Amino acid sequence: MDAKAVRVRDVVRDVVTEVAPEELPLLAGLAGFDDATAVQRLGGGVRRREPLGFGLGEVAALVTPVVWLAVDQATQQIVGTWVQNRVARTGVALRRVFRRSAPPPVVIPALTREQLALVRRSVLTMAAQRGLEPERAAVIADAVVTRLVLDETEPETAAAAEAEPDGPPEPLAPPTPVRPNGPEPPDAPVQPNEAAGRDGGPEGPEQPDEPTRPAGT
Amino acid sequence: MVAGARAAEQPADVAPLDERVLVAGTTLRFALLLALLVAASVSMIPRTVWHLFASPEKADLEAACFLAAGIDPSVSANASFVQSQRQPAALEECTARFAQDFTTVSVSVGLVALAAACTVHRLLPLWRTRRTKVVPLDVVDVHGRLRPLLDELVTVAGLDRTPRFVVDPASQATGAVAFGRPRRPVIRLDGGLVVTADSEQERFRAVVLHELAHLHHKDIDITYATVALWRVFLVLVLLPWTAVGLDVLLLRGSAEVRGVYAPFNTHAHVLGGLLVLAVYLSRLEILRHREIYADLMAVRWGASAQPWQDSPVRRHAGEGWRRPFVRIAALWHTHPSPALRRASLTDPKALFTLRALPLLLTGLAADILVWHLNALPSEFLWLSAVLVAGLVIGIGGVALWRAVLYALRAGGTVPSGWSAGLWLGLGVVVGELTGPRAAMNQWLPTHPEALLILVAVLVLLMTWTAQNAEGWLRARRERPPGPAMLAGLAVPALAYASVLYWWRSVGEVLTDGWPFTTAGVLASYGLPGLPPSDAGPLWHVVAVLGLLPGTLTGAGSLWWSQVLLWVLPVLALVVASRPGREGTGGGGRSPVAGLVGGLTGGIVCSAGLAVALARLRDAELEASGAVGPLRLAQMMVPVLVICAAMALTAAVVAALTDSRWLTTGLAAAGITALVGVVAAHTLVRADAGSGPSAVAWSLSREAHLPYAVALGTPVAGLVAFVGRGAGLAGRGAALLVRQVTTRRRAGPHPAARPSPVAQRLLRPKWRRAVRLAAVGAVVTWVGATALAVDVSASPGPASLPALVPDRAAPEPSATVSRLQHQAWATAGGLERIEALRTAELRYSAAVTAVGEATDDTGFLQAMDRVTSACGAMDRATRRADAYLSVPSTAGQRMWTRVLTRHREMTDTCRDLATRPDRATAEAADTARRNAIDSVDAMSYWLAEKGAIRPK
Repeated sequence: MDAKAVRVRDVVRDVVTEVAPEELPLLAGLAGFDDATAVQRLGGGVRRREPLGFGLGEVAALVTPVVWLAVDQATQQIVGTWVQNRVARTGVALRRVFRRSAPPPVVIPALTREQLALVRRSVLTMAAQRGLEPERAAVIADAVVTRLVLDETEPETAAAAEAEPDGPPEPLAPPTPVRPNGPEPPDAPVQPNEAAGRDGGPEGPEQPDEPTRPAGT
Repeated sequence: MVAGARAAEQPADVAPLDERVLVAGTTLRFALLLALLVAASVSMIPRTVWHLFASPEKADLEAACFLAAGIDPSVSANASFVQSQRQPAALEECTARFAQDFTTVSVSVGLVALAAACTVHRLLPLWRTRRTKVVPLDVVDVHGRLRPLLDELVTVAGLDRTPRFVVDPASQATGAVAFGRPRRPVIRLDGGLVVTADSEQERFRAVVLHELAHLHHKDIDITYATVALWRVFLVLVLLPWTAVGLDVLLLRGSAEVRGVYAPFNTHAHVLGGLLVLAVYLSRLEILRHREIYADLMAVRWGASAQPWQDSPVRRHAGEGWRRPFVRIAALWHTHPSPALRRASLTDPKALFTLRALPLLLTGLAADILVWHLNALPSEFLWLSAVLVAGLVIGIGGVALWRAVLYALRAGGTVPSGWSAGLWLGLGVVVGELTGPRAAMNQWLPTHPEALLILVAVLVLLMTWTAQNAEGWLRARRERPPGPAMLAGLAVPALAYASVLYWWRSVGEVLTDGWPFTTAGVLASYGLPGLPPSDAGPLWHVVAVLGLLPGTLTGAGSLWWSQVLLWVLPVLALVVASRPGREGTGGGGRSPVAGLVGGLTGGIVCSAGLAVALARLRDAELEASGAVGPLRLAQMMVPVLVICAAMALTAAVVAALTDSRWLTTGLAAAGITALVGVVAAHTLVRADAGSGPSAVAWSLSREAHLPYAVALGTPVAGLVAFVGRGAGLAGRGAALLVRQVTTRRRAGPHPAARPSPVAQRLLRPKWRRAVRLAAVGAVVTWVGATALAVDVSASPGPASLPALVPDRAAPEPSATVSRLQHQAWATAGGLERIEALRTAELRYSAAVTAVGEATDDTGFLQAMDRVTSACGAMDRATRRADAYLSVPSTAGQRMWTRVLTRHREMTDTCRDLATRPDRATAEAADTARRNAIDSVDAMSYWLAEKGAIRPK
């Protein structure tokens, strides 16, 4: 299982590169944030009317927050209980206050079929909440699942992640500007992070505490 | 919302009016908010510091001095003032003894608050651009296309400083926001905007140009200065002040004392709440305006209007029963509705329309500012009056000028201005009634109708402003209106400042009724023979006249500024009547009407003066040999005649003039006043016979001219409203009669076009009803105030009657009476009694020593002790005599007895010391026993009254 773990941000980068390459600038910006900050910021409400803002309150239907939040949410359900997650997040917050050192990135363990289905439902639900079209949501969900499944077939990539277990988050954006004529695979091979089992993740499939209802299907 | 007077004749311009044609007035409104926050801090910090640091015992003792002086906190401010003036020296000595000064601490806290505001101002941009919030533009500009595009937009905007662009990559919104400090502006782009920069380039340009327009207009400077000051004010000033206030209102001291001062403390807190509301709503209202300005500038710089057209429209926006809720909710928004922003791109009407809420909030904020400016020394009263008047008239006046300009350029209805004054005045009234200024320690002032004086003056000045603006804008259509507006606002601002000066000095006591006596007012002139023994109606009128605006003739009272209310309209009339001027708008007859009316009024005034002065000669006012009555009559009677002539002239001219009836009426009244003052001078000089002419001119200069200007002008202006109403009513009646007659003769004539007067009559009924109600309110006020004037109040002592009557104050309640006696005892009464006892014991010991002396040396030494005891007794008695009198008749009778007995004891003591024999010794012993009895009786009485604990 250790060999098949993959970081959430890697999954997000690959999916966005595939289905919404125009959002890669956002990923470049988010690369500087640790996972907890990124999730917190992406999940926050939209500031529609700030003083001296434009104020017409329009919101773009973006893929990045949908994928990141859905995968993160599903991962949290799979690898731990809600209470554990809240404690972990509080720890992250405290760590940020006192040490400001980056917490380890969230990793996804190898998933069963049921867990993959859970991830897919999570993506569909999140996409519906964020105003994406059902067809677009389905494409994104499929891309996420495909990415997770493909990862299981590439165990050789796991070894690279072991070299830097506690290092800072790796930049998500490609090192060179992406050509605008279409999606292309990332320059570097995917580097799954350390084993998820170190954080106490369950070995076998686990039922989510609050099963999400797929929207738009 | 704000009704117009009549439609402009010009056709509508094709191009939309440039919103920059006149200043927006935003800076003035921000300045009002900043002044309010600063003044409130200066007023609140010392109060908070005092409550936190002052010794409660000394504070209670200082407060006890006022109660001990017989001041009843539950009666009106006027009565308290009268009471405090009965024994001012004793009261001052008492309060000075317990006063605690924390000026240094207060100034330090104020400086800390200021430093905190500066720090917050510097830190706000840093906080908003922190690492976990935004990233530099170059990090996300992976394609390298955003930077050149933004550089191009900055060049289009022509900004002095290129802003720093940052991106919030987590934001899905497609907007941006400008913030930062003036020298380091920042624009934050939302992640959604960056993502859609290529696909929706027009929108990207529009959003960025909108933010650049905010920088161009320097919106971030004052917005974030206000934000910083507001946050620091909330945390460091308002919250501690509220906590201290709630402690005083609900917790500190006994429930009895808290109840006595509850009205004042409650008013103060309500005013604090209103301050928060006024600042918050005003700030949002200003920000909404600035957004439309930024939209228009962005479009002017080449932004497509499409993003505004594409913006989503909320369903049910302002329809049906939701309408009031939607409008209330809109007050809390930082941006106008999308529909209004869209409409403003083609017609920026919203930036020119008069709206009630900003005016109401301005009046309210200005009134709260006046309350907090109380902290200023009285020497700076004129400065605070000019500041407040400048802000109120500046804000209302700029809005009015813009509305008039828009109406003239767009062919709409020219606003009349009086409703703007009404809203400003309503704000002032709300502040006065809810705050502690008018009511002090009562729940409501006794005569709130006196506040209508301020409302009436604001209505007058705003109507004047609108008509003056119309006159200048019509006459100088091709020139920039800015300079004319500046002059057109300075005049009413100074005029309002002079009224405010009078209101703060004299007028505001009228909210408690008329507190003056005729005899006192007449005596205050310091002329021999005044007050006369028989004060008839003439003298009552003269006394009342002497306290109206115009009494304060020092240059600092700004009375002279009222003369500009005539001069400027005369100039406008002259400019308008020059050949070649376009668009005089029916005002072509105004110059002639003003001049003819003024000269006719002047002739009538001169005739009236001649008759009045002739009657004065016959009245034999100098029969008693004193010249005072005649001199005062020569001073006041011409004033009465001149003011009446001015009012009559203004009313008649206003009734007969269509265009700019108020300014024309005032111009005519001014001419009348000038003719009247010259005539009065000539007649009084002729009357004085062989007397020096300087006396006559001095009278005219010191009394006739200021009164004619400072009193006659506002009176003439207000009476012009009555004349205008009468004129309209007369024309309406004539029109009805004509219509009925025509219908009877020839039947209806459908093709006939209704005249402007007829159109006015066809306005909605409710609007006429509101106007009628407003006129009714003013008339009611005049009646109520006239009835409230109690000129028959009993005069004071014949030697020097008090200006404010020494009326018998209402008997205090049992609670207040007990508190007053307790205060009398604790603030120094008991201490004096103990001092008397000590002196008496010392004296007794000395006398005993005399009796026990066995030789001459011992006798002489004992006699020295007696002499010394006499001196101590004398000092103790004098000190007790200088203390406050007991706040009740019975108590004061006993206290007087104590003092008398001790004076007698001192006298007998001195007799004994100088002539030690049997007779003086017996007399001294009797006096001593009497003194002891009187002190025991006083102590027993105080204990019985509950003022001290019985021993």
